Amino acid sequence: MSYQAGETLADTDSLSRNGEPAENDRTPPGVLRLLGRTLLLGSEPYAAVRDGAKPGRRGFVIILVIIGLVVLAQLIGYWLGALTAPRLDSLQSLLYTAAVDLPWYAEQVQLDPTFATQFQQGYLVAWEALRIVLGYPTLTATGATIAAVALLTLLNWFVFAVLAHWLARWYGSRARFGQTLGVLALAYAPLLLRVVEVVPGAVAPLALIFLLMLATKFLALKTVHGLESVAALFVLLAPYVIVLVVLAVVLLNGGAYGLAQNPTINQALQVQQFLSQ
Amino acid sequence: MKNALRTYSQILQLRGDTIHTLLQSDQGIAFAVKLFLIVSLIAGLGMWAGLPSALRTPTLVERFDGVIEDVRETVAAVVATIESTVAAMEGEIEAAVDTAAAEFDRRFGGVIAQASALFDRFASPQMRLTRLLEQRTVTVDEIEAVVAQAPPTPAQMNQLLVRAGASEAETGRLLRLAGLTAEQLAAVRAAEQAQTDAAMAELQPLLDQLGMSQSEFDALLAQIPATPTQVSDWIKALSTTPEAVGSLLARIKATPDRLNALVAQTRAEVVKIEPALGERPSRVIRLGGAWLASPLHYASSWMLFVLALLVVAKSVGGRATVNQHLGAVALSAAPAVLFLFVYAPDLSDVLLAPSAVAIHYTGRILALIGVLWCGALLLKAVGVAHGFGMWKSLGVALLTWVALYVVAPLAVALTTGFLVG
Repeated sequence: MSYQAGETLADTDSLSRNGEPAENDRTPPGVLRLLGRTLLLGSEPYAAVRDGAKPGRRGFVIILVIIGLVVLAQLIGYWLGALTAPRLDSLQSLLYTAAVDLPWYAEQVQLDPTFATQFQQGYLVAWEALRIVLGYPTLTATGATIAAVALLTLLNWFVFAVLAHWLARWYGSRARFGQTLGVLALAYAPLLLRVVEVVPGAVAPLALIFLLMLATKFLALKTVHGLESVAALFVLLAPYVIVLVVLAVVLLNGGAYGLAQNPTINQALQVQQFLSQ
Repeated sequence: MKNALRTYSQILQLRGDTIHTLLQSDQGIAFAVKLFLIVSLIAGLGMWAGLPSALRTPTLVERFDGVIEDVRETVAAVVATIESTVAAMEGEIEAAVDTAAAEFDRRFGGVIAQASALFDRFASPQMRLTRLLEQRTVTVDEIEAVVAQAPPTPAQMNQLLVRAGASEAETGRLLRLAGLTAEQLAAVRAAEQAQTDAAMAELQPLLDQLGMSQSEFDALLAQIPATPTQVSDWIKALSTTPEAVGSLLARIKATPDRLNALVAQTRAEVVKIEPALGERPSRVIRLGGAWLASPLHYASSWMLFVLALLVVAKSVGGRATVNQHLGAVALSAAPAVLFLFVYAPDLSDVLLAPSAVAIHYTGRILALIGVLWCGALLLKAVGVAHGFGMWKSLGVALLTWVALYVVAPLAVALTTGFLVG
């Protein structure tokens, strides 16, 4: 094939091209294969899930596999990280004993009986923060990451799918909700880049994951709903805007309600309003 | 493998037909992504130049030992300097005193001798005895000249005899001259011994605290010089007790041992801080992790620009899909192997300074070539993907830069102003 300057690739869009192995095989490709192809910027995995049987259920399996792999990598990464990070436990307990032995500590405990508990909690939190700042693995940070990956990914996937599907239908799409769910699950494949964190010292940039997920979500929405590029971009970005607006409104009004419950602040605001009139 | 290398070579040649063929298929786009990963991993190999430094840099325990050794050497040097300075000062002071005494003796010796002779001629015997008692050293002849005319008390006689170091025969002769008996002298000496014994009994707790024997204490007193009674009086003058002084001195004496114990304890804690796999192996593993993640960091620094480039290219009529656009950008990283030395850390701690500087600037020159090559390939690949010529690709890239770094911040500022105002 010869190439002429200015020739476009649009007519040979890989989304509509035949001859890919996944399309030739009648048996549906495995989840790991689909995720691998997605990470290599393939477009046929989206079509395979869209056209497969029970795409919603497939999508749920895909998202569970992604979460499972990331959680497993985080656990192994925590273990290996603990082997290669300085062990601060001994120093932590040594300094704690030294602090507790200070006359100042005894005075504080005499002044306030709850001081000992507060001091211990603050001390533990400070050491956890120090470990996180220094990049050492901690049970708290790993647990929080695992919980965030598991819960937020599931929540994000479902809420985004609902909003995007609703917006795409508004644009005239005929796709089923199950198809949106299934294909959008594949769009979370960039989360697998966090698997690299299994090796101590390796960190997957969250910005890259987010931006890659924007690209894969765009591909997913375009594939499942057959939208034009501009419409697909709108359907991609609108859910984020909607969620941000809702969050802003909730935070503003929740904050205002909370302040209004405080009589001092409430009176101060009323005085200010009166003075400004 | 051979085909892959040939394709890679053709990409480096900015061959539009090769890029076009690759971007036409999912396999080609996957090849572009794999090429990006391999190339950026090769470039990231530069990080391994930090391996010698990672292995050579002392561990925490070694640094602790080094600091302690330095402190010990410093303390030893300071003590030696102080001792040397004190000795020098003592020598200088003694020399100065000797010089001054000699000069004084030269200038005033004659006058003093005459005055002394005059004093001896006209002073009363009692006055001469008093002056003799004030002298630190006396001779038997001097005693003999005085005691015949002004008989001393037994205590005074004993004091003079001790200072003169008189023999038994001389003692007997001088006693007879002074009109004293041997019994009187013995009584005085017995009384003085009793006083010394009482003082020693008082000072015994001090000796016990210091673990010092009687002979060692006597040797110490001879150096000062002082008597046990004087030491006992000094302690009383300080409103303290021999026990307290002994305790204080014992603590001071034990300080080096305590410091050594503290250092050993701290070192044990420092050893506990070391990673379970050891500090150096951990450094190597973490270096490996950073190297493994280098393609992700490389991609992260460009991803926003790449997506903005896609939006701008599409808005001016670009026809590439997202995959093709990302694949084209991935291909443009082909010359990134030239960034190898940019990833290398500062090598001045493992190489000689000129070599380290040479490698640093070689890396910068290669990186400059790499940036220009990557830029040209980016324009070509994006142009092929979207159906643009090189100049239009350049315009799209410039427009993207303006959109990202001029329009977007302005839009954010205006939006913020609208919301806040």
